Amino acid sequence: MVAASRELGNSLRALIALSILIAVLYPIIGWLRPGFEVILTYGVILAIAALGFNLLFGYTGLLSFGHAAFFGVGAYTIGLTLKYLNLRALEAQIFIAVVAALLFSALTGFIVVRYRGIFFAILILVIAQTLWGFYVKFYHITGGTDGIRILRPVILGFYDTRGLGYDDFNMIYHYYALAWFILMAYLMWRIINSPFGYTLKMIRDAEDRAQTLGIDTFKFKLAAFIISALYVAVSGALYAPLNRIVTPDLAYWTVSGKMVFMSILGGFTYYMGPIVGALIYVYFETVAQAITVHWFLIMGVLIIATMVLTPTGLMGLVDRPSFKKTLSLLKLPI
Amino acid sequence: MSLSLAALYALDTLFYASLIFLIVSGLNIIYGVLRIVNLAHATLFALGAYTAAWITSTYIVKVFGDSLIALIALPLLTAAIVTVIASLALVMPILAYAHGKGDAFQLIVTFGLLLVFEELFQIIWGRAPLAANQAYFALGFMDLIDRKYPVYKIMVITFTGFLAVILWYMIYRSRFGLVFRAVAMDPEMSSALGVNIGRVVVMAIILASVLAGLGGALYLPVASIAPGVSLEFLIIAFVGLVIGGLGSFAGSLIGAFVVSFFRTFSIIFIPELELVVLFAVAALVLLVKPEGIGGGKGW
Amino acid sequence: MLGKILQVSGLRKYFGGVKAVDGVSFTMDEGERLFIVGPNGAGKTTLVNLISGYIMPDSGTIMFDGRDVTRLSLASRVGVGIARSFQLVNVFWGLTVLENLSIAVASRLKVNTNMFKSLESYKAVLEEALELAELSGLTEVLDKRPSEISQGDRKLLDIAITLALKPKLVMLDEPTSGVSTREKFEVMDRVLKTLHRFGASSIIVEHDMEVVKKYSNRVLVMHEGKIIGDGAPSDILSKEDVRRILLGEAYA
Repeated sequence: MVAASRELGNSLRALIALSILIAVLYPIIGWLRPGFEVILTYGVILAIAALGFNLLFGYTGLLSFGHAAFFGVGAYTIGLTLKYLNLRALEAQIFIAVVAALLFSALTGFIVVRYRGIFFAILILVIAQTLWGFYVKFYHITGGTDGIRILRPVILGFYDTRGLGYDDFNMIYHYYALAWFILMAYLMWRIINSPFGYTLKMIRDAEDRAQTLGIDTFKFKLAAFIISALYVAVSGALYAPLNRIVTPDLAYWTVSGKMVFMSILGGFTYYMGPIVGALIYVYFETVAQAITVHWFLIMGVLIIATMVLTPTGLMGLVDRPSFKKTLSLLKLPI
Repeated sequence: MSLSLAALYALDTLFYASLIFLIVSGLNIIYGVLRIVNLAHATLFALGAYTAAWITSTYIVKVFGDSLIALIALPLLTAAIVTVIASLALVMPILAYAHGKGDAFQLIVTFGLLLVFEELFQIIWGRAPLAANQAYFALGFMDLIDRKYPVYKIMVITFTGFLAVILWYMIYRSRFGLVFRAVAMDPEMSSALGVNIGRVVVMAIILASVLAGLGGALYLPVASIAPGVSLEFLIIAFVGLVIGGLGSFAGSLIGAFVVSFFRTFSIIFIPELELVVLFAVAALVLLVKPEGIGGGKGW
Repeated sequence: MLGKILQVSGLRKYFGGVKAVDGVSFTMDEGERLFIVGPNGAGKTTLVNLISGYIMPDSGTIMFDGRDVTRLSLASRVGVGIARSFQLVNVFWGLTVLENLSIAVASRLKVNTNMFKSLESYKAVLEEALELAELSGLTEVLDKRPSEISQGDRKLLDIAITLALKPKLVMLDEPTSGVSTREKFEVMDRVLKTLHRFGASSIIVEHDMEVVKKYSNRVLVMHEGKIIGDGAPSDILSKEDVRRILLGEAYA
């Protein structure tokens, strides 16, 4: 407790500083490199997913290669409620996405969290690919690989973004997504520092020992699985209007891989890890995709390189004594 | 169901089980010596298929025409060689590094490897499906009561059966097998007894790669190879692994058969729910027998 | 009955043909400290496993604090006040010493399900964790992770986590195993001080005869699943047959 809150990677102050930075950077990047500012919006949205993924991986010790399933649930809830219910009130749609993810993750989690390691990883991957198959095959409902076009939403219950110009919408949506990010990230910070969060860490470190303390570890793992799914679903839901289309690609296994990558790139042992990882990830992806269509080759190499060179990710580098010393020499406040 | 239809399903199950066995047994061999479950293993199967498609259409058909021997043997040979080279160059260093580093580390780096391979295939061979089914048609069809069944599939079943026997002999009757089983049982003890673990690991990786590469080359003539096939086979092979249990010969056989049986039938009756059926079977087996049907005994 | 914390009678557990525990009976007074000694394979750890509920006996009964707990599950036995530690250190490696102790205390107080209040803000939890640390001599290393402290401190942390459950009966499986000779008496001093402070009865499996002689006032000697001696260490450990068994072939 005492030690953890002093680390840069686990401090709430780092989150506040970063959020302010993201808010300020948006117009600056828009002015310097028009079109690049939207990367930040994608970054904060994906950071929500990465936070959720990492509650399960970094804090509970369950590595999932199938969280694209919940991203898809979020995104398709936006698409399907729009297509069939003509619903454009985004908060209502997100609420439905959360309920859908809750039901779906409770049902699947009940089976998969009984297993660890490869068994957990494969079972959840099968679930994700099953859903992906549904989106592709049931095209009369989901539009198949053509997907569903997403109209501009109504936000906060009254503000219709449909009349806005491209840049105006992007800017408003950026701050809207940033607000969601701050809310979700703050809640996550509360969760990981709560007795519940520490119980998950016990399970991660020594599940059998946690049981000797009278803890029903299955229930806690299931709860972590569900919360994690809700975060990813919210992220998927926020992603849809910005992406303007929902396709099966959003639920493909490579999306699960992105979440793994974002977490380890930033550092899965740190609260700030997945957030930093997501922001850097979207930047990498944009830059790389401008050069090559084979981004996944680079991502694969980077995944291996990260694990070999700095398994605790970029936050792990920052946390090194030498870096801290440099910081103190510069007299930076953090 | 008519008798001929039942026979057809039975043969298809066997055919599919043959391919899955070639992947699952390799996974189990590597697990035996390194205690790593290699997520990228099915990409070697895809590599075998890509190689076979490429060598058949660019070289074999032009040089050897419709020579049956060349059409069948050369793709297998080339696929095995290419797969082993790729495996020694790219897979082995990663596996060696990941050895002993824990589940999460191993899963993540082999997942990275999976992405690398999938994308390399697309760079080399493009995104469009590749096919080369000359061998399939050259062998023709045989009578199966009132139906026709491709001889090629029978050949694959027979050939894999033959490979399985060789594999069994290598593991349970040869000198290599003795050392391999010792390492699989207790790597530390074996190394203390003076076994050259490094050599056994290299041999095991070569063996596993050859099996996967041959599997891909055998699979190609009945279908086509395209991005995503690795993952499809990865999932089915892993369900087979879960069902059969980790790290044994019997487990590889049982797992391959059970998963192929359910897959064949779900594809016939409820194609949309293929993966749901596989998931249900895997979850059920894990629930009743967490170590798998044939697992827990080791090699 | 009054004052008897534990009554074990006719306890039996066979593994195949191996008689791991073969008709063991003994009783313990409240607050008593009991050492169990015996050669490897004598059934000491099996006995501890049976009393703590890790395995179920083939026959016999275990009465704890006036109630029959023979068939109770592991979790229920933790609930009635039986706790144990293991031979190998098993702590939460990713958490600091203080976090280890705090979450253990929080587990006993059943506040684990709270998601939004920080663990630090539970004053009662923090106070108790600090007290445990103080008693176990871990105050200097509160902010350290288990990988950064000495093996003796790790043992103390492991036992302190067990004591955080405020059990009535604590079973310690070789508390000094893996601890350097230099540290072992310090570890034992701290453990016994903490046990005394919590008023817990204890069963301690121990290999080290120096430790047994120094700290015990009652010893059970086990051999081939049976109790072959029970009494004060000065009487029991000097008996010829006991000496022969404990010293094993080196003596013979």
